[in-house]
Amino acid sequence: MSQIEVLPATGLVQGYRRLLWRRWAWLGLLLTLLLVSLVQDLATGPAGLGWWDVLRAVVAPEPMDAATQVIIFDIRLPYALMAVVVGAALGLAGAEMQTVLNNPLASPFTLGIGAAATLGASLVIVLNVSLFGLGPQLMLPLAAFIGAALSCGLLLLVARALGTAVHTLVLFGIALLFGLNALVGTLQFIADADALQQIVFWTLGSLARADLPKVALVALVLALCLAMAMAQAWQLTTLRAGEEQARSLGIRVGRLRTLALLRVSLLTGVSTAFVGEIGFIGLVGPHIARLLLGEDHRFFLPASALAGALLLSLSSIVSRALLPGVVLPVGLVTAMVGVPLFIGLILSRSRSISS
Amino acid sequence: MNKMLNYVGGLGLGLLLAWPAVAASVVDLAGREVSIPDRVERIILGEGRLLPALAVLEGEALTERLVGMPQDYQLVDPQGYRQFVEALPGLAEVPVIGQGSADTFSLEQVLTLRPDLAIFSVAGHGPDSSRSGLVEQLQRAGVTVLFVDFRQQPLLNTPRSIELLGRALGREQRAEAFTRRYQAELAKVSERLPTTQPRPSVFIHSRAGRADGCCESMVNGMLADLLEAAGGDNVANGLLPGDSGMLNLELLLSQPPQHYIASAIGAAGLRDADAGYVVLGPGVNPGQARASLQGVTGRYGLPALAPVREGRVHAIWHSFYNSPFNVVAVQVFARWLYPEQFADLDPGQTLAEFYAEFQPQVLDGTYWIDL
Repeated sequence: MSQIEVLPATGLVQGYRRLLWRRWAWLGLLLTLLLVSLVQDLATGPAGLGWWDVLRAVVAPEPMDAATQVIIFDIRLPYALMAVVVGAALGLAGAEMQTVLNNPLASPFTLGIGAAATLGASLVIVLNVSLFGLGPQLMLPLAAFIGAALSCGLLLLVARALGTAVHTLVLFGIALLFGLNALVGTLQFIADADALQQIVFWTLGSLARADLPKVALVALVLALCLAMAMAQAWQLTTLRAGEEQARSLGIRVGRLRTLALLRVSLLTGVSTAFVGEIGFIGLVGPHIARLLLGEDHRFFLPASALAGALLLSLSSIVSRALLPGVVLPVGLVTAMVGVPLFIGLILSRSRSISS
Repeated sequence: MNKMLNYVGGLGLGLLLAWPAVAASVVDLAGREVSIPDRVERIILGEGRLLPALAVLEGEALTERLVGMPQDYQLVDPQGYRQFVEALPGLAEVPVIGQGSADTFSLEQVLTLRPDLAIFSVAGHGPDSSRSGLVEQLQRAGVTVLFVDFRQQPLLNTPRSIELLGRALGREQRAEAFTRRYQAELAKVSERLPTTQPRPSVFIHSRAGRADGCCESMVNGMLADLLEAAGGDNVANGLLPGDSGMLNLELLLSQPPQHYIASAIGAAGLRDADAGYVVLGPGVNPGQARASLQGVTGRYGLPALAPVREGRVHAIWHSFYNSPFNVVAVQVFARWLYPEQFADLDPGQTLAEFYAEFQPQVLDGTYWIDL
């Protein structure tokens, strides 16, 4: 966790520069890995199209047959890009949440926001709820988003009421998670087998619903939230040193927290709306980033996004490469890919610290 | 072809197993030895979708001994249920036991109905053969539990199940009439199936139109067995590890199947029509069915799929997978895949005759469609 090194006083500036340089290097490495994973993802599929064919079709479109057109623009690109933007969105959301709630176990899914999205989606699946005459193709993501936004709003209200006792918000979130799960369970109880299977599928998360306009929407939200978060990176870093400390430096902690949670609700809402529940990323992405390059939020925030994107991109590859011709739910694969990676990282870190 | 012989052989075996036990003991479709009560007066069903099977044996007297069933039938197929009720108004008075899923099946409520026979499906939506605790409790309370199957091995087990129910309900003659007819209809396909030419490849788009994307398919049992019996080469064979799963659309586009068959889970009188499912079944007219199929094949990149472009698009009523009349679907598939060889086959008439002889309600609806 501590990147601070004992340095001779004369070398302080030089040491700081070296530290910064090392953090940039880690960011660069994460970005490179993400690009490699993205290219591999674009090249994965039974049709025998390489990543170069895909890129060429985007950069310099030539006439091609309808099937290839669909494979590239309706399957390969949306899958691969959706994995990247959703992974980044969830990684960033988790990082902000862990910081402003001062709890390493906070994430959009451990605090019930994901469960709220599932409840919204389940209502549509089981009860055929429809607003404005929208079909389920639009109602599902809308309901999931409304669910996520409502639960986030609730968390915000409670956070305001609690004021400085914000650590109890985590307990509230966990209670919320159980309550929402019970409601989803009740819906599953009255659902017929078909609807039940749809809910289960939703909770497993899937990239199969992705298309390019949805990717663009998530990317837009991600860009906005990342820019806003980066603008507050110093304040967030200071908050990690303790709430009292931050207040004494003139930071309006309540406002900072509210804005951060608003961003979390947006990021989680649009992500779950289009891919369902993918729980592991928001929790582990930030931890990977913190293990690699510490708490300085100028680096920690983009690194969390990159780590999340990398995890989901790798999962996307595995979800289609494991059984040829078959698509596994990506949320199922996320943990299979992420858990060994994460445990390996924890073990190697603890070894290097103790040695 | 081999599989066909298995079906026929398996039926023979089924008869052998069932026949000598003239005493009151039978082996049901879960492989349990069950002694049948001398007189069955009060019947409950484990899932409402067993109603057509029960009607094969009970006919107009369907409601006389039926004392309880879950309401999954009316939830999934309201129009089909209405047709039943129009023919037999007493059906509406049959007490409801659960929503359809096994978890909502209340043992206490069932026991207050004092049934002497419970008919369950080996696998399916209601209490199935994995619920040994429930079965054991029912048996202890004096309720005989019989398992039937129209789903896991439809062509083998449909005649066996009807045979079994015939014995249990004392309707051996009707059961025999049905199975004789069933085998004859199946033979119309199996005996003339071309063996020299390569089998046409088929993609079954299971439950087409669901919001969770494309392309779910199935391989074991259900419609997959019916397709196999009609000489179709299911492209999902060897790919899916379980009974069903999601195929990569990319695979279908790069190795296009010759035929596209959607399974229709939309039903008349459900909002599902707007949900973008293919609509087939009781009370559906061909125009409605065709429009819904066009809707589904216009989405998910399916317009680029070779059979869709070239007009080999079909849809079949999903519920054939769990119906005693599944042999009709075999005939329908055979006509689609081998139009010349089976030009004289008329599955519409087969279904109509089955209904006239073995169901109390009138046949009114569209059960398959092509574009």
